[in-house]
Amino acid sequence: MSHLSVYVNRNTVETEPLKIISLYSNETQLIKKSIKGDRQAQKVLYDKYAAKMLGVCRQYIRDQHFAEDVMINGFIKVFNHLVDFQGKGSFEGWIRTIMVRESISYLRKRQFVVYDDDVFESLNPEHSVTEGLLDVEYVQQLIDDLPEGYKTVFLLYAIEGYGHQEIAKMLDISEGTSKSQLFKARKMLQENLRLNGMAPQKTGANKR
Amino acid sequence: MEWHPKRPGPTKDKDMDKLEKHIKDKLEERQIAPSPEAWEKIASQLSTAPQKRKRTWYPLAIAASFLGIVLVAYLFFTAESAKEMQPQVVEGNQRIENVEEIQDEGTIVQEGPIKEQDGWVENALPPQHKGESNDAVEDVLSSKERELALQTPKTPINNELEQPTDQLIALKVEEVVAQVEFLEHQKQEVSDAEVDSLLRRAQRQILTDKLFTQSGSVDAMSLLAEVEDELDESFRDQIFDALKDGYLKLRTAVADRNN
Repeated sequence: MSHLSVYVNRNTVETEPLKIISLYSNETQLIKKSIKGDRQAQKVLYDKYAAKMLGVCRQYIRDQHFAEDVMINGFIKVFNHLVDFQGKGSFEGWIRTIMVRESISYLRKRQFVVYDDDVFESLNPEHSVTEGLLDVEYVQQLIDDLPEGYKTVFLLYAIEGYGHQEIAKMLDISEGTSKSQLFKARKMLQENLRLNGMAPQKTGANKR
Repeated sequence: MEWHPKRPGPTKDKDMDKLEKHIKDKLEERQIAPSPEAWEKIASQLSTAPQKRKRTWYPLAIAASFLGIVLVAYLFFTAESAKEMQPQVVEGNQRIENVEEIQDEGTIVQEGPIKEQDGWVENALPPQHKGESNDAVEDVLSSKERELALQTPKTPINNELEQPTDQLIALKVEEVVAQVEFLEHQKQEVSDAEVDSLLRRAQRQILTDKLFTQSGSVDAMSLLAEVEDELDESFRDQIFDALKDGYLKLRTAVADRNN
């Protein structure tokens, strides 16, 4: 009862232009409108999440143009399946899951996911760290330097928080492979850090 | 403190955890502004979106209608079987109805107008073969007949009862009157109670007469009717009333004649 009255009051107190803004600031309303095909509402949702989601896709896909294509496809899927999102969990988490899966399917289609130890991207030694800090560009560089297979498993495990069973299912590999890929990814990350003269914080930089 | 990547032990795991957490934090807070064309690409794809969204409803609609059909079919068949069940449920009553008719026929048979009905009556009635006879009843009884049987409650009893028992009652009444006259000759006065007891005896005789058919065998239906209390009572009452009526009529007639 009190909730209702508060809600009504807020709506009635607001002036006309503010009302429109408040309608669009309510994510549930935006989603409902987007389902109905409201282009403006869709744009608001897109603007809210696009940059973040491009960041997610970029984790998996080194080429930013390809990453953007994947993000575009991801958003098309998001809007086309908005009906399926019925307020279960957070909307951002839902979009993020779609983006991650879209990225993986892109990698698979391009057969970038190779679980071979021999496939090694040559390290870019020119990426020396100036400030001695693991800024995001450097972090991304570290990730990019991992082979696709290592990278995907590492990102899914460490960033997205999936278990090995889920990762195995998503990538169509065995759980053992997922575990070994993660192990190798971690090892390589440490190795690369060391090669780049960087150590994890707290242990201190150990330049050689 | 020197950091050895290959150093075993918890420190390494701790470092790795920190590294991973750092990577995660950095990557998650990162935002990359997409090119302005990105939204246009999405928007152009979404122009067909309403159709797609509609299409996502079709499977639901199909599933719903399918469920509806299944439900209707289920209800239809259960209703059908319920209909089939009904005779069984009503069976008790129906048998009673039939019994009533049989009782009447038991006496009517002598007059012989209901010969053709005997067939189904016999089929329908042996109570010891409940299951079989049910089927038989259904086979033989068309639904119309069944409806008739159900719709005619007790009226036929009255009609038919009077006819068959009339003869008997008339006989008995004459007997009673004769006995009363005989008693009057002896005692000069006959109390109402005595007349009543005489009438009761006559009634009992009629009932037993009905119980034992001419062939000497026990009429199962009459026996059954005996057991059916409610029915039996009204039946007895009817016979008694008929007897009394007949008696009174005859008495007045005799009195008139004597006078």
